[in-house]
Amino acid sequence: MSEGDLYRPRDVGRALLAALDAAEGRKRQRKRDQTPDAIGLAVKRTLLERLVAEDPAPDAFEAWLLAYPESCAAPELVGPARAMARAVFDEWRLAHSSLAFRRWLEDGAPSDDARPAQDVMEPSHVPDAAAIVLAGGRSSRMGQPKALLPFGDRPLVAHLVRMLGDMFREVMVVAAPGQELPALAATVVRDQVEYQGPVGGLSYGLAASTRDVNFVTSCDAAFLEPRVIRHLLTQISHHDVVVPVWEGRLQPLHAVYRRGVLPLLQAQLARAELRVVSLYDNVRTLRVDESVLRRIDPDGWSFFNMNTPEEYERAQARWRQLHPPASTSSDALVQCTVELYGVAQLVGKTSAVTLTIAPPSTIAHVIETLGTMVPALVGTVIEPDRRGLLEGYACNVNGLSFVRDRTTPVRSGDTIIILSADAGG
Amino acid sequence: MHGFFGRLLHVDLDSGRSTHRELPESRLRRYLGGVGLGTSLLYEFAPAGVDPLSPANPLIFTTAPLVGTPITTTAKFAVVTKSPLTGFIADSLSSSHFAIELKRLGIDALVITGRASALSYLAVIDRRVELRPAAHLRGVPPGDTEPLIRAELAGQRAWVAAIGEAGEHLARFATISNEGRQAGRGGVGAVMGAKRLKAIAIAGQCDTSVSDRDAVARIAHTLRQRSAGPVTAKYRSIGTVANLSVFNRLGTLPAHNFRAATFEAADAVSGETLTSQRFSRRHGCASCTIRCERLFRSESGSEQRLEYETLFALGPLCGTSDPEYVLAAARLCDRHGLDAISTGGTLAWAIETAQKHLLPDPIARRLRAGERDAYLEVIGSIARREGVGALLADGSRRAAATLGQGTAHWAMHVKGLELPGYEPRSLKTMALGLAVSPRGACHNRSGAYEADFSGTVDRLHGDASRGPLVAAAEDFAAVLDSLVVCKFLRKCFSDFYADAAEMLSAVTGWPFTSEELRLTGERIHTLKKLFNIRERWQPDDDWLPPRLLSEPLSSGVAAGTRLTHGELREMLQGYYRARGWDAHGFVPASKLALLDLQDATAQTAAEPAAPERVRP
Repeated sequence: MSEGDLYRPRDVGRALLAALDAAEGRKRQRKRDQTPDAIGLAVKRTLLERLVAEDPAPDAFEAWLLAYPESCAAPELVGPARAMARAVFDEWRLAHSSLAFRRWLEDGAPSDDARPAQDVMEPSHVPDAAAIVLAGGRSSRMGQPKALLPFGDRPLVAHLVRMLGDMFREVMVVAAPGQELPALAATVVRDQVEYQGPVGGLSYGLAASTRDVNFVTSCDAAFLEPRVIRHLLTQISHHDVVVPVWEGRLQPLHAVYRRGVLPLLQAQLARAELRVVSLYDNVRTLRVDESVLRRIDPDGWSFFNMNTPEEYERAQARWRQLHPPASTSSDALVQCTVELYGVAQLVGKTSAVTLTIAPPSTIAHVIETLGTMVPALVGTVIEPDRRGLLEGYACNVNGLSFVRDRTTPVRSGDTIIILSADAGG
Repeated sequence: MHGFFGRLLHVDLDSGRSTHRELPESRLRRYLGGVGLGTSLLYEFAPAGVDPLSPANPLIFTTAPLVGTPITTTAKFAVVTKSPLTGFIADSLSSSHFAIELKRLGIDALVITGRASALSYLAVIDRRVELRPAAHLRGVPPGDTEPLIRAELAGQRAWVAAIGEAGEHLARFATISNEGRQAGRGGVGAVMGAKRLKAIAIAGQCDTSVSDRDAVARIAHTLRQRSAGPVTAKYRSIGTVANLSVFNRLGTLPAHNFRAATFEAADAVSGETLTSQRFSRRHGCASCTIRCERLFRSESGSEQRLEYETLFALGPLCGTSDPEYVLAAARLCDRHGLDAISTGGTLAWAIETAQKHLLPDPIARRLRAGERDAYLEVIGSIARREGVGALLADGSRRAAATLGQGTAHWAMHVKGLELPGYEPRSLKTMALGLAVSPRGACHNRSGAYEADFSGTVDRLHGDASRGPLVAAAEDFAAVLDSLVVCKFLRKCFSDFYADAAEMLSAVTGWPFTSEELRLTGERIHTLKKLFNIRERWQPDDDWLPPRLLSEPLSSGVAAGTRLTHGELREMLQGYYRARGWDAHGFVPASKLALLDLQDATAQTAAEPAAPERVRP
């Protein structure tokens, strides 16, 4: 779905129909009474099919939805149809205001329900694979075990296992003998000889894996990006190793390995060759270029790892940005106004935009959504990845507070002012 | 010597002599050029306690090391003198071809003392110095004076800076104008008028040599590229007039002579409205890649430059929202050679005084009625010192002192210089910056508003922590103004002092360090203060107008906010502490030693060379 098409109600309708198809495929496996679900889905399907067929213009869509219930043949369905029309309208608006929702639509409205049991990852040609987390390092520069560093309410390794568990059917954590670990939904593999570096951890992990293809990472990778992992996995078909190159350096602990390289790694261990990269010249290795990775992960947070307390602190700051504390009304949509001044107003060709945003409602979310609503601002006022304002622009809340912290919460009724950061004149 | 020429030209209009004098490397390194060198020369050439409008007050034009290099926005010159408006230092900057030509004379400074016997203009063509009669140019606007003089100097590619009627009549906020730009604040045009100097025409042939041509080219290339990026987008796409609507929204737009911090009709004169309805063309100074100037069209089709300060001062500050009037008033200021901020500030004082039935002049009734024609008439009368203009041409402070009856309460100035368009009650760091600025209420010599707009401080609450912020901003501005680099380039530097040191080293061949430049900024700023102290500065001069300290904001998002005496006093103490000055704001001897300023008062140029006769 292209950016321009997104605003067509028909296209949003198509994507929602696809999601509906997936949901219906899955519901047969549920044990509870699903009759009410079925009625609701039927009402929604009828509405969406009509929407796709009639293709109302975006500015006429609300009127179309208002008139739709009255056109239902069965009088008892007028009420449900009216409720469903409201729900569909909300989803259409959400597609405009929430980048996450929009991405979901752009991805074809993927649903766990839609996936065949064996195909954990999408797209469908991604091989069945396992994830291996190496956690047995010394953490000497950090001064405390990296695996146990708290992020939010739990250790980082627990977050990692949970995140990888959403992608992989098999997750292993390789730890040193006797190393303390929290309770994890993963297979814990212990090094036979401790502190042999990543070659050792990788060997023990691959030896324990039941899969041919394995994504390997370290326990201090706080910001893994699933789309980067998926991309690496899709490249493995004709290779033994797929390894990214970031800022000129190979990233062996964010790479995909076939189990078949295990004998070579074991041979390396035997001759005390503890550098993983030594493996690469002896197997079919694909090095994934940084320019490719930047398209998915512009700032390369995937490859961020922590060796020092300072790096941990930096990671904590970003973590807080990405995972702001839940607000008391976390389920409520927030409606706010964005006022544009100066260049932003001239470029955006509007002086104000009203946004409805889903939680977490922060300045970052507002900017991201604003970029979706007023695409002309992206690259001119808003960073190309929509994560913030370009240098030279500033943000003010309600005319009073200038905001630098993108995690600042936004409340319903707030006015966000986008202006030039330079008040000189 | 690279970047500098190591000499100044001193023209004494009393004796008719001109002298080239050496400027030693040590002095140039310590003060750079522009405002820094100008301040140093002012301290030397101005006798203590000199009457600003007397022949003895020097009028100093300085160039700077970066002028004439390919580095963007560096075509600037400074005019430094003792201000007839404030009685303290006046250091004004202007720009474009005149700056480059001044450097092409092969000098770092032009110092003018004395007074011509009749209205004249000074022509400096290479090393030939000539004083020519200008009676025929009396009353001619600066913009018209320039081509007339050029025609008289046929065959010379001269650039001209001139005064208008306001300067001729010694209006204390008269400007010196060149190529439509103004050395605007502090009344430098009145000092020139007092010397009976209508204009200065210059043409030279000296190129600026640089020590490391490749490094300079590389730096110039980098800055040129950065100047085309998002940090200057505002200046390139809409200009400084963009401030008006934003300031109005933030409750920082002074309106109705600071009786309000918002303007009810801001939309009518906002930068966005002017751009969409009246934009004519974009223009820029010589050697500038930002090109911030915006020309707007009036209904008659004529073009007028407009920037935020002009727009605010002649519009909302006077309670007017008619863009046609604002363009006409701005044109009048340019034609007469009047500082638009002080003109607007003084006019706003007159309007309020008329509204309170305290202005003893027939025009008061029309000012009370808000007649735009009356406003325009007042501007003209200031330039000619006619009628009420005789009172107003001395600025709001003197006018209020003359009139009495409590009118000083709404004379909105610091040290006699009218306030720019930043409401101090809702920009507390700026309030401190305005109070302590050596040249009076000035937004350019510190730019302290940056902290208020940064999100790092509470702009509605002032405390001692603002002191170091203002001091740092002043030192930064002092270096910028002495290199000289335009302030609109300031965010294009990744580490300003390191970048500036690199630039200066490449241009001069002298190994500057960022720490040395920080100290240079502080030295220049401190010398301004020392000059003011010598000219009888007292602690009470670092203060704000009574209105700001007694009336809360009446409108906008910050309505109800006050600036209290205690708050300002606390900020001042924080500032003096940060500066290492005593609790009253005087500079202790230990500080002079630290800044290598002990001999500032004894500083002299090298022995004069053989005098040359100024041709009659």
